[in-house]
Amino acid sequence: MSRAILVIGQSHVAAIRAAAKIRREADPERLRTRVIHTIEPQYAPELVGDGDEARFAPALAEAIGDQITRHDPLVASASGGNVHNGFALIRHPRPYDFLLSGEDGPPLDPEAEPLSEALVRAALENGLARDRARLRAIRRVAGAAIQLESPPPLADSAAIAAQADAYFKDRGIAALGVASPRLRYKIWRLHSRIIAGYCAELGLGFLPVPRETQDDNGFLLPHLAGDATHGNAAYGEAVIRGLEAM
Amino acid sequence: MTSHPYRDMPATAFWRRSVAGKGPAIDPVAGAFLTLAREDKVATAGSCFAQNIARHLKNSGFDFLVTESAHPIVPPHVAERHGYGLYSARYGNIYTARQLLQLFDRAYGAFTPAEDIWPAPGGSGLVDPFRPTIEPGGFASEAELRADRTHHLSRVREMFETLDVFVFTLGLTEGWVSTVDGAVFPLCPGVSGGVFDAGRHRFHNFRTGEVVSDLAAFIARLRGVNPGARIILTVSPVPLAATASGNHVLAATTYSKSVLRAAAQEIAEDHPGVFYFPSYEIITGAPAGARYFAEDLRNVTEEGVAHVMSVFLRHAAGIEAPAPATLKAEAPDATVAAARRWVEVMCDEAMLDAPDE
Repeated sequence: MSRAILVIGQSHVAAIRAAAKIRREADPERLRTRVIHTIEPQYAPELVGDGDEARFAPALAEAIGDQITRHDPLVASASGGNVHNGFALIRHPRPYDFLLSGEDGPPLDPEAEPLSEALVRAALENGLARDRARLRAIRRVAGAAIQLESPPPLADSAAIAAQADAYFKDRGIAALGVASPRLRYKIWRLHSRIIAGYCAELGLGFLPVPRETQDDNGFLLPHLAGDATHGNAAYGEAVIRGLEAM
Repeated sequence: MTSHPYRDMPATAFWRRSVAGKGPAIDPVAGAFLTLAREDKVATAGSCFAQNIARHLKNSGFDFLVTESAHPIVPPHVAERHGYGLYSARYGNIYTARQLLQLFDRAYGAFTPAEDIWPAPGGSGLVDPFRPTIEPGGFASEAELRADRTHHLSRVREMFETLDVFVFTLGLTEGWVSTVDGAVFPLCPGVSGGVFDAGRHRFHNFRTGEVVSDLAAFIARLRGVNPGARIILTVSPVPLAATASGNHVLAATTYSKSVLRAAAQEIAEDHPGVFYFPSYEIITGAPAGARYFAEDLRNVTEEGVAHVMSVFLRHAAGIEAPAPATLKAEAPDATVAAARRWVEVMCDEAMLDAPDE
């Protein structure tokens, strides 16, 4: 692909940024991949307005527009992608589980309270309002864009406990424990389906995670993890290649 | 002056003294009634009117027993739509005494209906035939439905075993029954899931003896797992949304409510620890003059529910809640209508008269 790439997002742009830096250092003439982190201080307050009327703040919209005007990039979004971690990284004090519809996902945990997928979906969607607003805002500013699926969860609960950032440590991950890998995987899959649905409604594309970043059960390969919930530079490189292959 | 038994009767025994001229705010409870303590765990079930009792008990600070609550991750408005919080467990409306008895038997593994999964309306998803409206859109798979039902029935067992007081509102005598094993469905197959099959489904209008027998059997089973359980029976004042009896719906309503009222009386008289509470009389009795019905003469207004619960709390707990204002004789219909607010309850029986899609 002979186009620059612009990736708009929040914490998940770090992997892309790290990969882009390595590329740039290795080959300064290569088409650039640039990132805009929407919650950096210069763009505050990121979004203005509520619900369907929410838009990127003027400084942010201007920065994105400027990049598009100057480089005519393929625009991708790594927006959001953390709500599933909020639900299924820490073991809930009232353990729950659900079955994924339409695919042979992991079975129910017999020790957990079974919830219908519809209820879990509603819970996730309730937490996705801001991410949905971001997608709308991207659609408004960038027109056609591609949402990147968030990185899959790690299978190794001990690694998650060890690498969890301050947010999860503050929420008591040490005391409550890490949620079961099966729940993490299912919540991530359902989260992805919801986001893909939003994208379809908004006319945005949706790029699944590169298959080569996953193990046989769909989890993120350990050497591609930046921490408990994010990919590293190598993961970012795989994603950039995925965008280039489009 | 000649002596006779009526000379020593209390005022409540006489229409002139206790009804005539009293307006709608009458208190038709006489004699002994259950005493409810704040720490008593009260469970509710029944037809849609029972949802009002649950709501008011919660709001009045009583220990409304909920053994099947929505998981905390589920937003409250979604939980409500999925049948949580309406009753002590997520069984939806239980219209007939036979349904209640079969719920108990299903919970304890004594009855496994042959027809236990229905296709959801529209063909996407699956429905639990015994609570067909609790999962809007249906369950995504048979495995999901069965897992949810297993969990649900465990919560029902917990409810039966831990409650102190069980309030059951009798709603209907008409029901649809499986010809295979007698399973009673809360809604006619085909109305909210399932496919009606005249060979497998038959209409049944329960008679007084059957309702009495079912209630007696239920009480015996309940006391088998919870010997101290006390029971309050009420009859829903909400008329039938539709009848399959062949009678006019008004006459069918009269039959149904008469049977239920008579059965409740017999059961209360024959079983210690079982009480009848006259919510039916408060709402439908002549003193109210249809004041407590909404414009459709079916749904009960919040004012009516408040009156019922004020009487209930007075007698059960010694609490004096504000009684509704006395109806002024000159009050025009428009004023009454404007003051009436429908009580939002999940009354899926109304789906019997839903327009075709």
